[in-house]
Formats: sequence, C-alpha cells, structure tokens
Amino acid sequence: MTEGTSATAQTQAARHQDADLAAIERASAGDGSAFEALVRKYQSWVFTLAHRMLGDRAEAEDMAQEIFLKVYRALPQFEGKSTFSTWLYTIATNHCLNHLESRRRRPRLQEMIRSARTEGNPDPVEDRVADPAPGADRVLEQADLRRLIQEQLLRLTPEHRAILVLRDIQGLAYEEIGGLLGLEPGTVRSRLHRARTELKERLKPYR
Amino acid sequence: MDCHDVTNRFSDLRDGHLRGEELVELERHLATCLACRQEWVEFQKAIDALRDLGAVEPDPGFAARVRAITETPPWHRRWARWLFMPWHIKLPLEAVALVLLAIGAVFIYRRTPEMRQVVEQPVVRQAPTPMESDRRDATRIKGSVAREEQGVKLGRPVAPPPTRALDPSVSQPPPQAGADVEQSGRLIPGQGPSPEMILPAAPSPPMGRVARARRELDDLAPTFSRQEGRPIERLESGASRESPAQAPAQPAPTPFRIMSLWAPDVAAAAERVRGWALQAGGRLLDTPATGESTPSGQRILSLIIPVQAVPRLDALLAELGQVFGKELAVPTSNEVVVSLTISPKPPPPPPPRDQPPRDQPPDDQPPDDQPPDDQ
Repeated sequence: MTEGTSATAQTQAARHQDADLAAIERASAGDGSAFEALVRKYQSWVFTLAHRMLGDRAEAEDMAQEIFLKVYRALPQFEGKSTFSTWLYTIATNHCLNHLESRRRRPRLQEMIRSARTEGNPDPVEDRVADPAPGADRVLEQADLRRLIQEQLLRLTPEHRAILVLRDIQGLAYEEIGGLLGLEPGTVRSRLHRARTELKERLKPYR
Repeated sequence: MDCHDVTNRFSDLRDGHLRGEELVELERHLATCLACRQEWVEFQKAIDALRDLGAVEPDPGFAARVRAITETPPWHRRWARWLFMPWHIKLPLEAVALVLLAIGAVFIYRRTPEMRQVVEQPVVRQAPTPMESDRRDATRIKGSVAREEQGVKLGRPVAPPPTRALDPSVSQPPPQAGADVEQSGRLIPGQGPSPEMILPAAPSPPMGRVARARRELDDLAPTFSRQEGRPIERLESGASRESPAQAPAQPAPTPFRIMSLWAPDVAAAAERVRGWALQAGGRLLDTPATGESTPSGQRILSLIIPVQAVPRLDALLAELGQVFGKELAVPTSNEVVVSLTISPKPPPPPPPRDQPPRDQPPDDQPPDDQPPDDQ
C-alpha cells in the first residue's frame, strides 16, 4: 500500500515536471500565456512564503512579483537538473532571505515605525490577547491567534523563520529544505528543533 | 532518558523520526513526567497553530500582472533599443538636435560680447583689409590736418605703382622751365593741400558710386581711428602694404587717388587736366568744388579715369608742375577716382651752394627713405 502510494506520487511528480518543462520551453520562446500558467500554478506557494517571511501583504505581493520576474529572466538558464518547483523554491527562499538581510542592514521606514510602536507600546495583538498577569485565562479568537502567530514568527531570526515556514507551513521534507537552504539534513533537523522550541516559548504566555 | 533528552527529541517525535526503543522510552517518560508532558502539549500546539496559518493567495489578477511585467522590457533594453533604433528614425532626430545645437551656439555667441571680441580681435590686429587700411588712411588724412599744420610732414612723391608704370610709349618729358618738379616729393609744412582738397565733402545728389564710397569712408572713419591710434607719418599705397592673401573677399572699390599739383598757372593746368580727362575717356565728378577756384587760388578737380590712363595722367601732371599724391588702391578695378588739387607754385627757395640742385637728388639716397625731419 505504501509502495503503491509512493509510486503514484512519483508518477504525479513526473507528470508535473513534464508539464512544467513544456511550459518553460514555450515561455522561453516568448509565449506569455505559458509563463502565466506557471505563475498561476506556483503563485500560492511563493506568495505564502513571502507573506510569512515579511508579514505584510502588499510587500509580499511585490516580493512575489520580483521573484517571478527573476525566474522569468533566468528561464534560459534552467537546465532541468532539478525539478522546476525546487528551482523556483530555491530562488524564492534566497530572494526573501536576501531581502530581509538587506533590510536588516538598512532599516526601512516601515520597520522603524514598527520598532518604535513596539518599544513605546506593546504589540496591538499582544495588548489585546495577552494578559501578562499570571493566571489570566483569555480565549483567543481564531483571527487574533493567527495574527499573534504571525507576529511571533516575525520575531524569530530569518533563518528560523524560513525553516519553520518551509517545514510546518509549506510541508517540505528535510532533504528538500536542506537543498533549498544549502544545509545538511542534520543541520536542518537541529535548526528546526531550535526554531520550534523558540516559537513555543514565545507563545507560552498566551496559552 | 531524562527530561532534557526528552524535550530535545520533541521535533523528531513530531515528525515521526523516532523508532524502536528510543520511541518506547520517550513515550514511557512522557507518561510519567507531568512537566515534560505539558511541554510536549505546548510544543504540539505551537506547531499546529503555525501549520494552521496555511497558504495565502495573492490578489486576483496577480499572474496577469506578472505576465505584463515580464512582457515589458527592462530599462536597459529599452535604452538599447532607443539607441539602436533604425536610421530612418534616428537620423532626422539627430539632425534636428544638431540644428538646435548650432542655433544655441550662435545665440550664445551673439549674446556674449566677450566671445565676439576674442574671435574678432586677432583679425583686426594682424591683417587689416585693404578697405580698412584705405579708410584708416583717409580718415587720418582728414584728421591730421592740424598735425600737418603743426609741422607733421605727410606724403611722398607720387611713385607710380609697379603695376602702373609709365607707358613706355609715353616718354616722360623733361621738366619744363617754370615747372618745378620736386623729385624729393616732400610736402612743405603749411603749403600742402587743405583737408577739403584732399577729401571733399560728400557730394549732393545725384550720389554716384564714388560718392557713396566716400560717404561710407566718412561714416566709418571715427570707428577705425578709435581702434587704431597709430600715427601716420607717410602716405603710401594701401595696396602695397597689404598681403593679397589676407584681403577678404569683398567687392573691389574703385581706386582712389589724392593728388596735389603745384603749377605756375593754375587755371591753365586745370583746363588742361579737364580736357585731357574727357579725351582719355574719363569724366568729372559733379561736386561743388570741382573746377572752382578757392580763396587761396587753388582748384580742385575730382575725376574718374580708366585705369589704363593713369600713367598718362602722371605724365601730364609731371609736365604741368610739381606733383604729390597718394593712391588708396585696390588693384582689381577698371577706374580710378582722382582728387586733384592744383595750387599755385610757391617761389623756389634758393639752393645752398654746397648741395646739389633739388631736382637732382643723390642717387645713393632714395627720397622715400629720408626721414622728413632731417630737412
């Protein structure tokens, strides 16, 4: 049963890869609709990554556009040694990390406003849902909980954030994550554990 | 396996990476340790909450926008396309740009007097044109009357220019008795022609070619006299001082001769010159002073004669008396304007005994080279 499921998954992956290769070939020849189809197929994955890494929808959309533009210009260099999805995820993840790194070196106005708001006044979600007093029993609304998770996620380092998003949101295997981030599987395993533990500790006051 | 070992394996336990004895031992610890079990629950909740965030979809039309962006060439390609656009588009644009640039340069040049001065100064200093030289000299003739009266000696004897040497067929007659031809050719101070004789006033209408030229000279004279403050000590042919290569391409004016004649009989000389001019194919200019006698007994004739007749005029004047002159000449012309002033001959001074007669200058000292003040 397991072997049959695995074979089916492999067959589906191969079918996806063939479809992607055909679309890439047409897009490289100037077929805009073929590239649009590729974008439609992977836009959710890329946009989710960007949104969870950046925390802002508009900024995530700009980031996703940049990623697809980068992919489009790099299409002639795609040799098919890996799957298109792996190639795309690698570009997307590195682009996000590079962007965060450059933002860390040069704080943007938005980041300065956010940090000023955090220093002068507690986070709005924390202010509403978290009761620093021990024993407080607050029931979080689902939307507030999601917002709280996102905010705590943004407080992690970009590396921890990326590995949590790739594993627990995007559902990639350790080997794929190691391939995207250029890490050994053991490193992926330890880093993932540290990131999860840190998130758990950050969320502990709100339980 | 203690609590630390157990919490360190939460991630592997969550992802199902624990097998066999390790998994059994960890589950046994969690069943007995309340703190670790509580940590494990918190751990699970955090990951579940993260997973529940789920995927996020972009705004509708995202793929179409990305496609539109990809179909827009990048800026460097747009620039490259513009730079290497087809010639039939680029050439007119470049031509228009060139014309605009030239117009701008001319505009700036005309609005900047310093630039014009820099461009024009060397021309004025180094190579005055024949026309300018003639105007300058004529102006100084007019303006130097006062100096002339103060003892500044002007002029030199009329020496026919090389191109207008006396016609060999017309032999120069020897000086007649009473016609004192001074070969040294110097004007005696106070006895030279008056400025009105040298340059008569602009004639009244009809204004001919010569009159227009004279008026132009008179109008431009102050300008040139201000630009050049160099005194003129000798009158000489303008053409002989100019380099033909430096002459600008201008319409050639009529050569202009200013001549003075000392004759024993002014009226007879005037009549003879007049008759000769008409016979030689020339004409008299209709000026008020032409042919009339001035209070000092002078007569002023303004003639236009063919260039070919100049040597014969020189011979005639030499026959009639002592002649002085200046030619402001431009060689390319068919006619010559002559302003001739005929004055009564002054009494000849007695020659010193130890010097040769005045009509026989020493051959080793040309009169032109002798400074005027030496006498």
